[in-house]
Amino acid sequence: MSIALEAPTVKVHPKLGYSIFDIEIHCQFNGRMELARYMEPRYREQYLSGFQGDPKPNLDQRGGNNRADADVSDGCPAGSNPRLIRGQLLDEYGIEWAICTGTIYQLTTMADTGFATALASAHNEWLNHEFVPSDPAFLGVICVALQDPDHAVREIEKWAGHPRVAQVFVSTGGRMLLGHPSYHRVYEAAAAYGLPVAAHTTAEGRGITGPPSSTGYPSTYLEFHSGLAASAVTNCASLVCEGVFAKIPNFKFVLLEGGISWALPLMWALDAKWKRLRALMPQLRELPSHYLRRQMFYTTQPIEEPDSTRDLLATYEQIGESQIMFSSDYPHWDFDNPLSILPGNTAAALKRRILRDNALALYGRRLPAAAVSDSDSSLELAASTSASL
Amino acid sequence: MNQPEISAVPASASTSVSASPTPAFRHAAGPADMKEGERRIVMAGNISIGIFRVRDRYYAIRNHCPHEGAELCRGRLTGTMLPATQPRQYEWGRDNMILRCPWHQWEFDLETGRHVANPRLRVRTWRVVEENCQLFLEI
Repeated sequence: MSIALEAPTVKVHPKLGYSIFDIEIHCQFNGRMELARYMEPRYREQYLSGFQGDPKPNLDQRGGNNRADADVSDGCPAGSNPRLIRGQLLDEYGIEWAICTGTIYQLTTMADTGFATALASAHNEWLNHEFVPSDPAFLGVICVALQDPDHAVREIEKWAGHPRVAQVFVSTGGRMLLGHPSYHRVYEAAAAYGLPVAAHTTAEGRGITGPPSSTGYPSTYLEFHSGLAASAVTNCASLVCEGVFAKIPNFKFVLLEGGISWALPLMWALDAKWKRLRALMPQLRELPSHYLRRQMFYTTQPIEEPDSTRDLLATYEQIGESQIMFSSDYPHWDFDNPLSILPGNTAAALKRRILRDNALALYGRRLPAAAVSDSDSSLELAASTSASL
Repeated sequence: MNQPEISAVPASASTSVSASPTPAFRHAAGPADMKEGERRIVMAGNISIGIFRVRDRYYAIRNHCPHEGAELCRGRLTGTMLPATQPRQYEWGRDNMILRCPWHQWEFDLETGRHVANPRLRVRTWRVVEENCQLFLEI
């Protein structure tokens, strides 16, 4: 096991002819002791006794959180064994790099700030010291609890030099919207180290966040899950209107599991109303959509499924063909197969950008060139990799 | 999307031995010793097919979800809520006749291969014939 970066060996899937960059897999620790041993006694006992933050409205997903066929042949939790992840995901689809986000998205929703920061630190230790080095394809994240921006900055400073850390990881759910000025120094720290900040949905409604929708509590998971787009829209507008993108030009924001297509009407609305309301946010020197087209990134899972894929591709092209990246969400139940999303041969160039090139452009600056076993595509691949670094 | 239509009445055609209107190629599918609720996955050429035994009948369905390509027949065999006329009216039916994909939990009726929410979507099914304690797929 090594934390040093080495080029992973990847067998390119013949259907694609190039390897894939997966922005999100939910690796899992194998039992709480794996994290608890990094905690101070004050929080270790609390964590081992089962506490993991305030509960969320418990809505039925009809069949658990994981894929029913997730490989658990070792008897351990799905996503906790790197060897099984390699077999069922990385080798199966020709995935060259995969960012491991873990399963702690609710840090910013916890009432006990001390516990939230203790859990963030412990998770970063386990993830980046133990789990990520177990496979050369894995990249890690820095989990932070935004209730304590000072601690978040310290965690970023601590881990930014780790060669396999790809980005900072926060929740879209919290006490305040993501553009709030108290968070700016966290974003400035991330940008100073060249790290994007990724935010994961689904902690909405937990703990100190208030209801999961701005107007109340849904009764079903379908309402809750489709309503997450509203959280994404509001947070995205907040980052624009609070001037985060304008203030920190190299701040890059990645939305995980928040959808994509809504961004187009959001851009229309922001641009239109800004013409009247600009004086309230004079730090914006360009149309709001200009910032979004440069600094906002989206991930595909769960892929949006209109009747015609053509409609989706046309929308994605307008939102920004360099801004959308593939994520599998393995081993969760709404996992996406990279070979079957965006079916057909139309927009092959856009598909390749989504499955590989856009992520390499965003994260590839630290990564070594791939060891590609498919000789046909290696020249093309090397060219695109160096162009995007 | 169309209204879900789920047949509450089993189809009259039996999957036990009966004269086929058109002669079909028969693919041997192993001994007819499966237990209630048991499944077996067989290859017919390069097509993977799941065979299920439910209430003394055998059903065969393609082991491939048309959504994102998961192995459908590794999913859970269960029932589902029948179409209702009122909100919050729930009636369980089609017990052990609904196959749910292991990935996105889409529901397919074992008998027709149709997706429950969108019956226009259909997975290929085959007749299973039992003869001399052996199973055959009519391909």
